[in-house]
Order: sequence, then structure tokens, then C-alpha cells
Amino acid sequence: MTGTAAPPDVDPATLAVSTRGLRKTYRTRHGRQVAVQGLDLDVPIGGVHGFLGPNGSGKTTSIRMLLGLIRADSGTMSIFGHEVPEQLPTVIDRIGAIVEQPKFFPNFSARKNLDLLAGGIGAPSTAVGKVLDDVGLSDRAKDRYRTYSLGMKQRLAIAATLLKDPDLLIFDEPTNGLDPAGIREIRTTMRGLAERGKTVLVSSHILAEVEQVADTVSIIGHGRLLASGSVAEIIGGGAHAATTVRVGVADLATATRVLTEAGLSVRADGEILVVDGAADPADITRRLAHHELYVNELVPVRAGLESVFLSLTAGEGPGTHLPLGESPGSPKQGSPKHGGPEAGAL
Amino acid sequence: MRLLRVEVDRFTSRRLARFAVLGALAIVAIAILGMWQTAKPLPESQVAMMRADFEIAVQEWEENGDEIIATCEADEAVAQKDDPSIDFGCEMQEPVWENWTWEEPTFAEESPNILPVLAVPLAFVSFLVGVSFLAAEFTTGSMGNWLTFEPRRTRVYFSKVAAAAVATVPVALVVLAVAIGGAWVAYTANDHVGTMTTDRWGEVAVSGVRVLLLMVGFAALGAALGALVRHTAAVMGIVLGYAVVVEGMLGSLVEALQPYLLRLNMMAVASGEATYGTEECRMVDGAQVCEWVQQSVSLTHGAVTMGAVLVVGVVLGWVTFRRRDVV
Repeated sequence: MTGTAAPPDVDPATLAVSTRGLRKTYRTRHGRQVAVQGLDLDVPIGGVHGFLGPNGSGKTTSIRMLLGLIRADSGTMSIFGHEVPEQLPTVIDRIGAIVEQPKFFPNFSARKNLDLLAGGIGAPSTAVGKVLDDVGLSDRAKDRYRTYSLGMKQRLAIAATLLKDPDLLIFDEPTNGLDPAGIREIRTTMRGLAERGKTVLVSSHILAEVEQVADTVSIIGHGRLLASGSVAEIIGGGAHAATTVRVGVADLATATRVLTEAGLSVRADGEILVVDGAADPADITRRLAHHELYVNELVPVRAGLESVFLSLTAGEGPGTHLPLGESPGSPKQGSPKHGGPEAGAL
Repeated sequence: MRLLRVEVDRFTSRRLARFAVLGALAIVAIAILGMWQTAKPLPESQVAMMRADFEIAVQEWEENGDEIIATCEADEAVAQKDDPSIDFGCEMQEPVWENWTWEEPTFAEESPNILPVLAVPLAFVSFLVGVSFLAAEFTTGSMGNWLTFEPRRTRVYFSKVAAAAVATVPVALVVLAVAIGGAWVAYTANDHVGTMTTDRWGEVAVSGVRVLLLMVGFAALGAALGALVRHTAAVMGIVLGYAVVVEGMLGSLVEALQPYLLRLNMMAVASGEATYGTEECRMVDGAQVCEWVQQSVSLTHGAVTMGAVLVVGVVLGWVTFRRRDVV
């Protein structure tokens, strides 16, 4: 893999991670299965970057390729401007990663596991005590890893990543299997790291998680980038900018007729009208007032990251968390189109 | 060196490594028990029984000895027509007490053979620990974790293989020292030490070094195969299959394979030479006559064969480890 991974319009110096045309296929009984196909991913330096996609969309495979654990078939990758995997040894000290579940030696204590890792990178022995303190595991440091709860294992994995005091932390589905307290703890940790100037790349298929913690996100499906940008841009950008408004009005039938004639999509939800397609909520009040219909409630419904994600990745995989009653085959009106970085891309 | 130090630390911290030391010591203890039994003087009742048998044989010899010798010599003369070198040893047939009793061996006589006898089981234990050392990293997933700290796979691989070898050295030294020390105690307790000369101790030391090298080599080979196959049970299955099919069935069917069988070459390294038999047949007066001919595998042959196996295993493990995805 040669050449710069960043396109001309992106300053590579501002990127922690960049991939271009990243592709990986696996040989299976049924032929070759494409896990990642032409992934273009940019993760800016600093902040938390959510790496979203349904299960099987290629998130973990992409992370493994970045870390040199598996080989890419084609494409380029760079971390802090260093091409990987070729220059991974140069930059590895700046990366801390947890890929899928934490993996340590089950019969060794937490301290022993960290001592070995610290020894491997030449970290001072005091570093182990410090990171164990940081994640609140000092009291259980002598216990065998296999006796740990999932949350403790996750915290130990975070402690391991902190041994290097890395600039980039990669967390792959870090909240899988955690209880709500554990999830909040991980979220707080990620935010705290970002506030200390670190770059956190967190992959997840749990949208609410990422929405609360991420500054920027990339959404992938079928191994391709579907959308990328700040959370605000992804949620509020493109066709989502003026999507839905809930309107309370006394004469629902007349209001429905007026708004429909104005080219808006209208449906009733109890005593409320749900209006899609208005560029500006003020247009709705103006049109209704023109027919002497006065609104008693007007609530623009802000699209959530989940709805954007669902519309982008509809039908992509079993991990797509669909709200009850919604079909993966019917993207919401006004959602960005499938299939390319142009949909909501920066 | 830093990686090697860490890997040696990990190797010696593993429970299986500790169990393996206990297992090796158990093997040694069983061997020492066997030596003690061998060195133990025969009970009086058994000696009396032997004496009675001997006296019966002497009496029979006195009555029929001349006839037995004559018959023997006549048979020998007939056989020598085909092969003049044949010697039936007719003059040796008079019963002598030494042939009817059991003379307990001394430590001095047995000492050069003590460690070579233990070579195969001890090498197997070392191999098992080596396999598990690498394979466990894949089964627990910690190899992926480690590679996020040290992505240079060649360094990682060789530090692990070298650690398996290096960490085996002190363990092997202790186990072999216990074996020799225990044997000495077993023979001393039965007053059968004999005269241990400096040369004899030298032979013991040399056999110890050879068995040590086998243990170290097999630990490294095990680690390499652990990286290659990534599962301890799978490697053990392959080893068992090899032992049954190649060392057992093919080895007995195809005599030309014999000098290349691992067990024989291991014994050649451990003992300085190993022997095996081949059947050589020829036609004599229209009839096929076969005889069992003893062949030997030299120390050099054994060392080269075992060295080649080690190199091939380590290189295969390295190439695979460098290229295969770690998931």
C-alpha cells in the first residue's frame, strides 16, 4: 500500500485515522464474502468519533486491518499520517485498542496480565498500579482475570490501553454485555479521554450510546461508508433538515386538506397532525392561518441519529436496532440515499 | 531481549508449566522406583529357589552332559557346511551359577543409561508445554491483544519460541539432576553404587546434555507447532496420529523408513546410538532364509534428523504466523 490515504481536500495532518478504498474478503464455503468494500474513513484528531454500522457491516474487520491483525486485500490506511500496516511499529505506541471483548490470560491476575504488557513495551512498573487505580481495579488487582465480571474485564482492557498513554484509543463495541451502570462508566471514560486531548474511535451498533458521546460519526453498511460528519450534521443535514413537524389544530380535516394541497405529507396521530416535508415550520402556521386555522401546538421533530442510521442501513444486518413497527425495507422519507459518501458526507 | 524476558516470565507463570514440572518429576520418581527395585537384593527365598533349580541342572549335566555336547557339536558341524562361521557355543553349556542367579546392577554400570531412558517422556512433556504456550494465546485471544502492543510478528514469534526453549533449560536441569541424584540414592540404599570414575561421571554428564538438548528442542518445536496449528488438542491429535500411522504402522511396513523415525533418532541423540533390526533374506538351496540383522542410527544421524525437524517446524510456524490473520 503506497501513496497518501487522504484525498486532496482533507489535510492529512488533521486526521488520526484515514482509509481509502479499503477492501477485505473472506473465503467461505459459499465462495468469497466481502466484509469491507472500498471503505473511505476519516477520523479527525481529537474528540470521540463513532464508527457505526449494523452487525456484520465491517466495523471490526476494518479495525483489525488498521491494527495489522488481518491483511487488507487492497486499499490504503494511515494512522497519524503513518501508512499502516507497514509503519505500524512506528505508531503503535500512540494507539491503544480493545478489539471486541477484552482478551487476557484467564488464570493470571489483572496485575500479572498488565505487568506482562507493560514489560513488553518497556513501561515503568509504576504505570501498572496507576492505570489500575485509574479504572478502579486496584482492590481486585491480585484476583484472577477469569473471576472478573464483564464490566471489570472491560475496565481492565481500558487500563491496558492506557499503559501506553496513547493518543488514539480504539474501542470496538465497548459496551457489549454491560449493565447500564457499566455503559455509563465506559461513556464517561471515553468522554474524559477526549477531554484530555485523546482521539477516541468507538465502534458500535448501539446508536443511543454513540449519540451521547460522539463528536463525529461515520456510518457504514455492507463494508462501505454511508455517511460521515459531525453528529449535528448527520442528524440535521441533508433531507433531514426540515423533516417532521407535529401540529396541533382544532380542525384536523381542513388542516390536512390545506397542507396536502401545499404539497406536504400529512398523517394524523391522534389529535395531532404529523407533517413531513416542510422546509420551515413557519410555512405551516402561515398556510393554516391563511385559512383561519390556528395552531395550538407546533413541535419540530428533530431526527435522532438512530433514525438516520436506520434509514441509511435499512436491511443491512441483524444488528440494526429497529424501533417496533418499522420495516428495514422502507427508509424514512427524506433520509439520505444509500450507497455512498455523498449521502451526508462532510 | 525485552520481549524474551517478558515471554519467559509468562512461560514460567503458567499453571500448565508448573504442572508439567510436577509431571516430569513424577516420571522421574517412577523411574527411580524402578531402579530401586532393580538394585534391591533378592530375597532369601528366591535365592534358595534359584539354588535348587541350579542344582537340578548340574545334576542333569553330570548325567547327560557328554551326550548333550556331542549332539550339539554334530548339529553345529551340519550347520557349518552352509556357513562355516556358525558357532553353537557347545562348550558353554555346562551350568554355571552366574547364569542361574541375578546379579543386581550397580549405579556405575547403569548411570550412562539412566537419563536416555527418560528422554522420550521428558521430551514429550516439554513439547506439550511448548505447544500449549503458543496455542493458548490464540484460544484465549490474547495474541491479538499482544499484537496491538508489539505488531512486529517476527519478533513476537521468535521471542515466544525462544522463551519456550530458554525457560525449559533450568527446569530440565533440575529434573535431570533429580533423576541422577534419585538413582544414586536408590542404588546407594541397596549398596550397589559400584565404582564411579571421572570418566563415568563424564558419560553421565554428556548423556544429560543430550537429553537436555532434546527437551529444549522439543519445547521450541512445540511452540512452533502451537503457532502453526493454534490449538493444543489439534496438535496432540496430529502427534498421536503420526505416532500410530508413521512411527507404528508405516515404520514396521517400510523398513527403509526406520532410520528416519523420530523415536529412533531421539534415542540416537539421547544414547549416542540407537539400534533397530531389519530382516534380510536370501535363497539357500532353493529355500528362502531370512535373518534378523541389527542396524544402528548414529548420534550424528540422529542429531541432523532432529535438527532438521526442528528447523522445518520453526520455519513453518514463522511463515504461518507472519501471514495468517489473527482474529
